[in-house]
Formats: sequence, structure tokens, C-alpha cells
Amino acid sequence: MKSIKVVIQNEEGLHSRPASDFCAAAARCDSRIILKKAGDSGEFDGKSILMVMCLGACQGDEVEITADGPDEEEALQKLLDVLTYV
Amino acid sequence: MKLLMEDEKMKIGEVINWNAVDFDLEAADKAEALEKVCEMLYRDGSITSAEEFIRDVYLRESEGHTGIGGGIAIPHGKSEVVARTCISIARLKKPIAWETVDGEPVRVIILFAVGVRDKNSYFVKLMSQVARMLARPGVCEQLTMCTSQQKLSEILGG
Repeated sequence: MKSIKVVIQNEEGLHSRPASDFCAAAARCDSRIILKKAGDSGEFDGKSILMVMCLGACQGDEVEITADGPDEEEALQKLLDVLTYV
Repeated sequence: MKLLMEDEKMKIGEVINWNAVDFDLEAADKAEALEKVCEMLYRDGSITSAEEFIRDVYLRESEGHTGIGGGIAIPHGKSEVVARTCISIARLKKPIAWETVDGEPVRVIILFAVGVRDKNSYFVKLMSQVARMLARPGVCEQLTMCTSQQKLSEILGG
């Protein structure tokens, strides 16, 4: 299991196309993808658009992405790339 | 309708526009359904142009599925023509085709009309509240069978 933290840059938060792109990328990973937000105890499935909306990540929020599975390192890198370019 | 400050705990029921709720909306397809829901918001004064608002709703539709599964769709428009940020809810007489994550048709539309000053963190937090409600076991199914304001209030308060 591996995790990384990233600060959401998008003015509109992790929503709309960025969220759709993130979920699509997460769904292609074999590993489980879990999202957490600093200050919130909830854990949310990164492959579900509903769960990503539950996370409620705004611009400036620090989000922790955890990947657990056979491609966890690669998954994290791909998801970081997705969030970096939104 | 009370205007909520960003750091105040949101109660979904306070953001719902009760003048724009229909438990038995007749619509043949997505386009007609959205047109009728937007008309409710326009008549109420929450939006100042139904045509422009629908354009902004479709802009969001182009960015990814708003059909979240379980018969529920959560379309939204962030628009300059939104006078009051609010939520409209329509339960359809018959399910309609929609771009959904589970391939199933939609029975309930939860449409967010979002003013430009609310389009960032306020909207994200509001959507988070609604999403967490929808994620509770059985809520989506209850919404698809909901036929009264009282019942809807119970589901929201749950």
C-alpha cells in the first residue's frame, strides 16, 4: 500500500472534468484507490464519481491518495499526473 | 431562502427550492426534462434566462456523466443567469435515458443552479453534502419512490 499527498490546484476543486478524468484513470488501475482529505476522517473510493464528490475537495485542500494493489506505484504516478494537469 | 455562509453547516433542505420541486414530471427524454425543470426555476425567479442556463447545464454535461447510478442524475449549471443558488428536484413519471455510470435510466433529477460567486468552494461543499446523502444505503431507491414533500424532507433529514 502506498500513499501520496497532493494539493488541489483547480479553482473549482476536484469536480466536473478533472473528477471524471481522475475516476477514469483510477478505474484503469488494478489497485484499490482510496481518497482522504486533510481534516476529514472519511475515506472514499477514487473509482466512483459519487465518492469523489463526497470527498468535497476544494482548491487548496490537501488530498491523500492511497493505492493498494499490484500496480500501486504506477497507479499513484498516473493519478498524480491527472491531478497535476487539471 | 436563507443564504448560507461558507463555513456554516449546510442543510440541504434549506437550499432546495420548494417552488421548483415536482414529484410527477412528465418528460419523454432528457432534453424535455431539463427544459421543464429549468422552466420551474425561471418562473420562480431563481434564474433570469432558462435558455442561457440550459446552455450552462449542457456545458457541464459535456464534461462527464451526471447520472450517478441508482436512477439519480445530478446535473448542474454554474451560470451568470442564476439569481439564487438553489436545488430543484424532479421525480419523473417514467424513467428516461441519461448518461449514467450503471447504464440504467434516470427517475430523479437533482438539478443545481449555481451562481457565479458560489461556483467554487460553496458548490463543492454543497455537492459533497448531497453526495453523502445519496451514498447512504437505500437513499437513491427511496428518492425514486418519493411522491411528497414530507417524505422528501424525511429522506433529507435522515
